[in-house]
Amino acid sequence: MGAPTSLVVPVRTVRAVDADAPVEIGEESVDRDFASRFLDPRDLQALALALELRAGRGGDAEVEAIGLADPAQAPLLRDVAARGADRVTAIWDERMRGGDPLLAAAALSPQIPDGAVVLTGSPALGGALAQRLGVPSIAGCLAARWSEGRLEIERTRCDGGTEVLEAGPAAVLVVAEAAEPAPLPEFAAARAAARLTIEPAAVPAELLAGVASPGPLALRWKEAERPRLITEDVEAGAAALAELLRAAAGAGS
Amino acid sequence: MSGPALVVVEPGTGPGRGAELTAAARAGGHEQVVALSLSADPPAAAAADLDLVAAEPPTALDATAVAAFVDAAASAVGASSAFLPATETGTAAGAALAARRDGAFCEDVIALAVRDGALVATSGREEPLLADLALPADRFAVIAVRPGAFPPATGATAERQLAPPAAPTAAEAEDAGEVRLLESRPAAADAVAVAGVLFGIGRGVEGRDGIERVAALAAANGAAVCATRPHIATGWLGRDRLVGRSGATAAPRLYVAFGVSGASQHLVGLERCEALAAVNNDPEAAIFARADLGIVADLDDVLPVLERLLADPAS
Repeated sequence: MGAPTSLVVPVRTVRAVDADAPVEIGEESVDRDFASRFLDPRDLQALALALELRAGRGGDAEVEAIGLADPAQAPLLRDVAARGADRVTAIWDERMRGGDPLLAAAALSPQIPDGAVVLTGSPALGGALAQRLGVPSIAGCLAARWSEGRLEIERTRCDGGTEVLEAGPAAVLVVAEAAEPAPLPEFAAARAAARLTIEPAAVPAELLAGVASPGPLALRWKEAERPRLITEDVEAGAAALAELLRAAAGAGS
Repeated sequence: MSGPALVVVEPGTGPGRGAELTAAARAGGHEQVVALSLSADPPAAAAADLDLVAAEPPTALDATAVAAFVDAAASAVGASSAFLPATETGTAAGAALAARRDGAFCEDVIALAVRDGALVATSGREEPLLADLALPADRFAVIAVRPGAFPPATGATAERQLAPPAAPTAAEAEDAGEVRLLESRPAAADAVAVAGVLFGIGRGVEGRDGIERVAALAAANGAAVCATRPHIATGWLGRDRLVGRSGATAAPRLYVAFGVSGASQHLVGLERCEALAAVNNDPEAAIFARADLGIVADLDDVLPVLERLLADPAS
């Protein structure tokens, strides 16, 4: 009996970006802590796929979540344990605050055991990490299962079609938004996870040295485009919409 | 910029995508643009009036293999930057390419400019919050461009065939692990990606009955149907109906959003739609900021009137 298969899920936090959020954005500086944060839903979908693959191994696999989170955000990662991860750790360096995928990949790559399957919701992180690990990166994954020791993966293509690939087992799978949603936390697991202490480990400086990260100049809100007609008059609105539909149908014929 | 830009055209995206990437490259200060097609059928890129690198692309679109392929092409033409579509595979391959070349990477780019000789990319990754990022001038730059963000470039450069880039070496291919294509399923004939008129079904359309009513109206008017995430999660609509950041992108002449809130994750898939109409009972819904026509009302009030007017315009 060899070591259990390692299923690794990097978990990022994302800003709750909302045009109503009380935000001040300086011309030359970036305050990246202005908004509340939550776990990236795509990464939680990646966790769901990792749990499926673990089940497909009959338990002969472990799911490790590695949070990319500063000490203030690390408690959010308890939710990952509550949703079924076997182990939750975290790493952090201030240079990672901007969310640059190349920096994240550089920091993560030494944490990934040989032969692991990595599952992520970020195409950019997945691509950069796969490159560092020297393994394939399959984007747009909808589902995956074991097939004679390898992975059989269904994924979307940019032309709207789908395809089934065989890869791995060592690979980085980028989970599509259309994949299964994240599992809900179990009550007992959530209670146990609430007692977890997760302290991010510092990323050794030499790992990030030389990584070219675009420098942030400014943050700003996207300007809303002005509508042509907004109406609460159902009859008038429906008539305008019917006219648009007829015009669009005529243009296509 | 010191070398040409290499634009990477994914298969199945038509000639327009290459022209969009060319426009992005020119906005980034590149006069010379070379196209690399990831399709074994390169006329899509040729039709965009671009210089063309002829080569046999990887058959299975593993992003690591694509990055190796693009890397070889970039070396062959002396490119100083690469522009890829910000699709799932395009973004993954772009980041892999940047890591491979110790370059800099910027994802979901919607605008580019050259300021004081430096390339500044605007990323919409956290839209509606936009970030202006300065790329280091001494590094190979990889830009993942949001589909539809740049109007296609016009004006041709002479087509010429360049030497094919070297394929990834056998050792590299072995290192990365073989990826085999087992099965390929084409997009449905009424796929959202090619629809002229597209009806979007959002959370405001309630239950299977609501979906079927909008779908029936779509079918009667030659429109395809797409959906936002909640209705895909219920299984009432197939995953091929998801439009957005990780679903399909669409460029319909008209998009009609029923009960769609207008979250950026959905709207990024519709950057290229020509006209957008929305029906939503929430006057604050973000979709109205994008709409050419907005009807602030309950769907149950609007649909009967719309059905009547479409069935009998004189009514």
